[in-house]
Amino acid sequence: MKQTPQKQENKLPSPVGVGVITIITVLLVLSLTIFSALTLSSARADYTLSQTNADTVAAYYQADCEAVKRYAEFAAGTESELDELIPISETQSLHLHLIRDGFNQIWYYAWDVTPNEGAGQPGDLFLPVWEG
Amino acid sequence: MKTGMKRGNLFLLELICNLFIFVLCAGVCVGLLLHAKSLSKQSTELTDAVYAAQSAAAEWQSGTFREGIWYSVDGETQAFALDQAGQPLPAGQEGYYTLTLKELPEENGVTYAEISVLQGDREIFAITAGSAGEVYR
Repeated sequence: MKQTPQKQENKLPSPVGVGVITIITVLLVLSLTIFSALTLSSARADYTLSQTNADTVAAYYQADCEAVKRYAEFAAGTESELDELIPISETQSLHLHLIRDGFNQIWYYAWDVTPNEGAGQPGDLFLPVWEG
Repeated sequence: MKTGMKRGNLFLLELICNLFIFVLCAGVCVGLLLHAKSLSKQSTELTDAVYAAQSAAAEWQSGTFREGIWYSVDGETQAFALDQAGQPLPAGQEGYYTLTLKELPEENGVTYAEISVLQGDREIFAITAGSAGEVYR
């Protein structure tokens, strides 16, 4: 029995051998997984940074409220100077330095965020800045 | 003839298995990507809310409010709306976020303001700012 050329063509093996598709799928799955994991890790890092920023701002305003309270107490009193550190976090404090002049007028010399004593030791994440 | 059929079946089986594995992995990855998108959105909202609250606190402490955006909710509370990019909208417009500033009664010479940023009914960020009158920064 003779076979037609079309039937002979059907019998030819597939140009894509067994296993090639598996290799392509494994590569696809691997790249998909890697990119998803990287995206998630990046989004998580962004969110952690935002959360840290929000916590820092909230802690700063809490310390600022305390500073305002100290300022009001100082303004109502008779002391000539107030120099205090109000803690914001483990590494930062709000430095408040007020001076009363002879006309009972209050001047502020410092109302700013400063690093705590001991911060900047080797191993900490601080740059060694020259302090003069 | 038999080898040809077996080879065809093996190829089909491999194709089906690969398709199943790919669909499974794609499902997991889409889940991860959606979670990442949600985290990214939360992160953007929080950052916008923090900036808006900080500017509102600075405005209140300096006593100079930007014109045309603030509106009074009641005697003690003022508010303004922000769009999705965190930009303030003209007073009276509905926004994606709403910032409210509630001034509390004076206590020992100090006035406090509760500032909160809402998205719908959900509070995203809140701070309390203090001010002690004329000699302040």
